[in-house]
Amino acid sequence: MTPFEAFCAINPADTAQVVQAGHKLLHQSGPSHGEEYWSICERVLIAALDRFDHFRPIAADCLGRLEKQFGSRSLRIMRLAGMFEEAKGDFEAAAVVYHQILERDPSNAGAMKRLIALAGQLEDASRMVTLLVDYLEIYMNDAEAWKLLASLYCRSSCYEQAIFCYEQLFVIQETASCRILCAEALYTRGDIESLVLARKYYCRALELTSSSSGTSVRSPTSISNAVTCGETTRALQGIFLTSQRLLRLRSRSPADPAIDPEQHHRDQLMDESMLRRSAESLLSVFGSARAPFPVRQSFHALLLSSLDPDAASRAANAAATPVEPATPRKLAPVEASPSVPSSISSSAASSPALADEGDPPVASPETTSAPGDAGSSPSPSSGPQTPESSGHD
Amino acid sequence: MSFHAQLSGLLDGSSGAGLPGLVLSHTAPGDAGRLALDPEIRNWVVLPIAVLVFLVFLLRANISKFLGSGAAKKSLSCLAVREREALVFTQKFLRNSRLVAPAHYAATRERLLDALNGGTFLQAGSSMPSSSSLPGMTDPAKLQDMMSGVQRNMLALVPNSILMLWVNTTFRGFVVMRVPLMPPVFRLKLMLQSGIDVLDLAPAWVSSLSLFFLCLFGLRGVFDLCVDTLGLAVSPEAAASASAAMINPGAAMLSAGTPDAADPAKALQKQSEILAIHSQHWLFQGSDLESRFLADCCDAPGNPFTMHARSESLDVRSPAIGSAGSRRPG
Repeated sequence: MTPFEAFCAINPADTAQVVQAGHKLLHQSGPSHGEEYWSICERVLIAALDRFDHFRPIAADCLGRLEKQFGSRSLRIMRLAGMFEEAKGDFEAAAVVYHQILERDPSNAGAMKRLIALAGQLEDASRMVTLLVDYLEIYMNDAEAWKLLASLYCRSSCYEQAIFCYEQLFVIQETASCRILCAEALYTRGDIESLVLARKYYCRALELTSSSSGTSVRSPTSISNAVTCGETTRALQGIFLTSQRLLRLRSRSPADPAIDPEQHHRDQLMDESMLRRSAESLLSVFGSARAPFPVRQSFHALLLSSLDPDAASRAANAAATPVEPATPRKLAPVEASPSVPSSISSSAASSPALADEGDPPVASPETTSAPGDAGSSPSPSSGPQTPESSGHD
Repeated sequence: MSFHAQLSGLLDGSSGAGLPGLVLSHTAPGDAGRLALDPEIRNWVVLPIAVLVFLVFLLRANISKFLGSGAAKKSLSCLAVREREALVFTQKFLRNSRLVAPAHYAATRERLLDALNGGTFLQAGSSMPSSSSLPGMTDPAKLQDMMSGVQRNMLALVPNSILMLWVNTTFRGFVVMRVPLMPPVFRLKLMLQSGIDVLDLAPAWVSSLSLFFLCLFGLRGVFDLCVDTLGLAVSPEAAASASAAMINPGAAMLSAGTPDAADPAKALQKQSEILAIHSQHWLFQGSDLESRFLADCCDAPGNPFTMHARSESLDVRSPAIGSAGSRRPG
């Protein structure tokens, strides 16, 4: 592999490596090596601006070379010079440069985007929104810009506008993450129609991830791509929460004459079945070693109680009785327990202990007996699974 | 010029033999094989014309540097960009409308229809083109746009026409080459053999003016290759526009220079017509999506939770709490 190809293969987010490798490459080859020399120079400059305090001289050197070659009147070079000013911290000078670019070329997208980023650095959200809206008036097909605007609106709690942005995104480019984000904004809106729509969007996100990863929704943890696995899990969580909230809302307002009682009943059944299904799949996800993120005990209990309504009352009983001092211990092992196979083996070893104490705190000897289970992500639901498998023995 | 006189003297007023360097046997119009040309013609006509055309291309590519104008790059105004983007967006909307919530679909459709019919997307607030108007002649803004395009074409047109006139006058009156494989129609004889008054000469034999046009269109590709490999064009913008400008001289000479400005407006109008009769078939209507989820979701074979749940009693399902409850006395 040639040095140039090696350079291109570096992850652009790893700016330090980009700068070091690129700088070496620039020194080895001269400007006569062709077009690539200048694009490498630009890349190294932008990467060096990312870590300005370390790589300031390299950045200045690259900028100097580019200016010498292309002249400081070139719009692209001016934009890079503006970025250099921004990195230095001189925001007014940078803004001046960008405005100069826009005077000469009013439709220059690069300068507009830099102005938006500048407003972001100055943490001026309203100005950022204004600039973004002006930019999107012209470049209405820029998906990243729509995403940014939507996230800004969400942060400012303007969910209506955020949902509008997400819907625009669906026209341009539909992705699972956008569906999930839009569904979350809809969930925040909170009324029944929004919740139903949110649940539909979560299902759609599941479809998109499963179609992209090639597997069905069956086992999210079998998806090798971590991002997709995370998205799938998040979509399942979304389905669970929306179904739960829908059940609650619908049970509160059955006397509304506008609602057809049959349809109401059917909706409730749908909510319940979706609740169960999503809870089951979520529990299996969190039970496996490859869960994308750990789950909180409260949410875990929520999942369990949704599947077994009696367990909710039993949990209330358990909390009321003197077992209570045991509950903190119950919490701890569930948070940090080993993966399923080792816990099954360790539970088999400590099953006599289990038979004596009927309590969940038995989970703690298992965690201590299998402490060296390195590499397993915390999967809390192996807590319930281990006593259950011990119930087999 | 004595050279000119010498060349034009070759075919002056005679259709017969006895001319230096040219042997004419009795050639019928269909018979294109039997003519021997002076090799001087090749040295002094064919090669110079080709080299000259190539040099003119080179000059035109680097003219921004020589003149110091830098006007080769065409920067679009915001409104022009918005027009283009609006077209793309409308097309995407029509294609992806089934993915969008019905409320948003209705709102966007209204907005787009208003904008397209009211012409807000068009540049400088120009009106929608009526079907009967000539393209580009209705609006001063569009005319201006066309003028800027024509200005670009002028840059290419002027040296070409000058050169054409010069070639025509200098290398007049003799045959330069034979079109080898596909001889042109007899009717084109007048055009291709301008200045040669030999009636029974096959139309495959063409004059220097035809050679000039051939070089003009043919060397374009060669020049683009040379620009890319040898780096002849000095400024990168000129190199990019070199290939674009090459197409224009031919187009400018052959037609009246159709401007691009009319096309987005017409395309937008067409989109608005499609949009007016468009209706949304929302992908998520009914509960198909949810049913699919319920059918597909997670009956993973290795799922210990559901497996045990099915085989064991209900107590096992929530063992952390259930076992506590079941084993508790009372």
